[in-house]
Amino acid sequence: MFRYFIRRLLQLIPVFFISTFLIFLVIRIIPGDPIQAQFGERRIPDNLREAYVERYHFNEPLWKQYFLYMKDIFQFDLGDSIANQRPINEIFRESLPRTATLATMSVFFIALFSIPLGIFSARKKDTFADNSFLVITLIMLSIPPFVLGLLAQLFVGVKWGILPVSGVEDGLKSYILPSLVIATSLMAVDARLMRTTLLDTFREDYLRTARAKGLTERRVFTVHALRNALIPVVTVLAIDLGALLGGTIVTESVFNIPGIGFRITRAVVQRDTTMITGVSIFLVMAYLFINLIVDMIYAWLDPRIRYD
Amino acid sequence: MKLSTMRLLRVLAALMALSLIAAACGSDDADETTTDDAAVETDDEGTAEEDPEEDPAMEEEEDPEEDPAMEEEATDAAGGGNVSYGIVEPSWIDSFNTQDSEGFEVARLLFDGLTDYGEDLSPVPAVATDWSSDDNITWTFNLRDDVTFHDGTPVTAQSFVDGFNRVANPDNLSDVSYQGSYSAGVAGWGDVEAGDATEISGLAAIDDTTLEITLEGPLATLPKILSHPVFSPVNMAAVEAGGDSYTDAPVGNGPYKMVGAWEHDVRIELERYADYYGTAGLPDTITFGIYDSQETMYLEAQAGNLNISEVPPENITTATDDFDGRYIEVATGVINYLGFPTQQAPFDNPDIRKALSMAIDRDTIIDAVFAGTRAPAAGFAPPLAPGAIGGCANTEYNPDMAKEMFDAAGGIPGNTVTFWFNTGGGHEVWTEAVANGWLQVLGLEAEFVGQEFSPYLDQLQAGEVDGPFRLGWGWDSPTAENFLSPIYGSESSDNYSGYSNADFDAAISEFKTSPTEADGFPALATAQEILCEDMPVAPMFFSRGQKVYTENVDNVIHSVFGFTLLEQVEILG
Repeated sequence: MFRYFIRRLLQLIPVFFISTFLIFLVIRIIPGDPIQAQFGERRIPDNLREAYVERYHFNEPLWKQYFLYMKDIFQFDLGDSIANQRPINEIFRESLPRTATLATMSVFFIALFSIPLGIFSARKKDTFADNSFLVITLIMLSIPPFVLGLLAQLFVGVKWGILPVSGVEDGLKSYILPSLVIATSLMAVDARLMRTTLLDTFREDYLRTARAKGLTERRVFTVHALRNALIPVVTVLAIDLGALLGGTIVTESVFNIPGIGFRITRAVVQRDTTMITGVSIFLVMAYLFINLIVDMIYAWLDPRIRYD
Repeated sequence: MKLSTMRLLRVLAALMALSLIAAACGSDDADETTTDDAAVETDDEGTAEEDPEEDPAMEEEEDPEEDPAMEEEATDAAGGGNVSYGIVEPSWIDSFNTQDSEGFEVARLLFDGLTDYGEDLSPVPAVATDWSSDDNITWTFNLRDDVTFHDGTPVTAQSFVDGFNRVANPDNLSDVSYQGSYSAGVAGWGDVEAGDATEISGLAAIDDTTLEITLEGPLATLPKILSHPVFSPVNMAAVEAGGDSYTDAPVGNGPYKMVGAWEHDVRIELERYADYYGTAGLPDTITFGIYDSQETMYLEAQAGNLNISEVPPENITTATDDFDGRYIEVATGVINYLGFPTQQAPFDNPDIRKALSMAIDRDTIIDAVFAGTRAPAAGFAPPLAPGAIGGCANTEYNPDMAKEMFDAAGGIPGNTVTFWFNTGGGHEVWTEAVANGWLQVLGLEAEFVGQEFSPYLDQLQAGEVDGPFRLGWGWDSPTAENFLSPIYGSESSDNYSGYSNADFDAAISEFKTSPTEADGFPALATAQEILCEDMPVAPMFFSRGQKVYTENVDNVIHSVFGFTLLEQVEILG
């Protein structure tokens, strides 16, 4: 197990350097001047431009900029945002908990709705209820999240006043509406997957065996069919969670939740190149780390993996 | 290979646990407890009409200690309570780098400079009680002795010297330092910016209550220019104690002080400063709710969670109905214009420039493109700016005269102009409307060149722009002069049309050297008349600001600088 861990860890090193360098390169060749972007439609005095250039090492050759950046990264310092000179670490400390809360709650809602719906639909296969389920999920899939978000804000927030319209000031309550919006657009996939895999398991031989053994229909369904059908659904839920942790740009913006997605959008609009680089590199590190953990868990669950 | 469901559930659970750890780490724990309380507060606020006992109770608590100190008349009648106000995230609220209107809204409540300006936009005393100058070069400001920072430290002349030096220090990367070097022309300010000196030579704290400012050249409007928050005093001990986080919780000397620190993209909370030397503000507390979009801000106001909101462009037509007439619209000091490269043929001929200007139907374009939310620019400075003259004849739509003058001047070779504009600023539609007008009236075709702002400015500066170009200008101080010499002065670095007229420069310098601003108005009028004749640019329109407010606030006054006088908002129980 330990040797496997070391092997996986060593593999990460080239991946890390190559991906961070690519990010660094791409962001610096994007046209447009990040310093001017901070001044809107005003001219920058020459001495101030020089001060900016020096502070952010824009005058150094690219390889040196990358080297200086990496030096900071290894001290866990992502540098300063060019837009307001705030430490990017601090921006992360603020944003990440919000995005994580939103992601966890969204996945919770996805599971809460998609699993029962999929089961229901599979058991009523080809009935009117099943067909309407298919149509409804199709509609849910096709509504753009910002439309859904605005409608939810207008009705649930403004007209009925049940939940906060936007922001993060009401604790967990603030995250319910945006999570539901995210869940609505994502759960269609999960519910359909639940339905399909359940129908597939219904055809499995072991179900016939179970029935032949004289088990009750209830036990056949819950223990034998459902348990096995849940495997791919849980995998997809895990993938959803990973993707959501990278920030949901549209939903966070609509609901005014200053999470990762919100900050990325802001950074792109403001051409805050140091911030974009910081976020991207952080996400690379996060993905690498989570992947490592997942691989470890799989290896721990299934010994065959670590000996391949 | 099939893993059991339980095992997969474990994987998912582990991942969720990881993300929860992420959610728990960082400071949001504290965040959530504090914001829960805040949520209760705002709930109270939203339902204030239903239980009116809430707010008056707060008033009684707060008012007696504030108002006796201020023998100010009827103001205490409506004092107390909280007003919540929507802004987008400011870039800075610390005075040394206040640059956008949002930051300005906060900084003007946190800080008081030497001067402020009154309703007629003339300078009035703030920390300085009076000022004098014999030659408009060396200025003496007499300061109050009862002004304190929010931590109790007295504000002295040295606090201003420190504040100005902090702005000019290149290490601090203040984006608005040009206010001191370029707009005010304080002697030695530029040397500090350039790193050649560490202290501005033109400043002297004679004693605690006397500040002497020496300029490079005469400037009658200095007291006005000094009303900008960038010229605020600073308590250097607090800056050093605050370290990196100081700029998120600056210690000012204004009527309101910070409660906690700026929660980025969430809120800024202010409360009335009890030991304020001047007229106390009406609201006990002011909450700046920070929104990423005007749309969300507007929805929150509709839901009653926010007292005063900006108006998104698509809601301007419905805002009056949505808020039962509680809608205000005010002209602000921002101009958009079309410049001409006056050093290049055929734009070196004033008749061509005049013809192009007269062929623009500003009213129709504003109605069609901006739903009437801008004011057509009849002159070079907005009418609200002290010293502005009425319109110029050459900005009136006059297709026949335009065509006649255009042809008489020989027209434009090839009947085509290159029309330059910067992308991403929403200028596409109206510039195209202008070009359509030129096509109809003058038969002139336009080829558009749209560029990012930075390369756009570079090309303007290098004189590579060979046709009409769009630019804008927002004022830093309330004078008509602020719309003239920076854009049209021969020596100005913001003069992109290459316009140079000795008479104009002479009129401006006459204004600057006149004993008072008003004495210089005739010279300023002359300068504007010269521009009307020469038309180095075609003024297009002035911006307007819009606000809506809910029924539990009143006396919402929108200033011509684009901010709301929050300290005067009345909260209705």
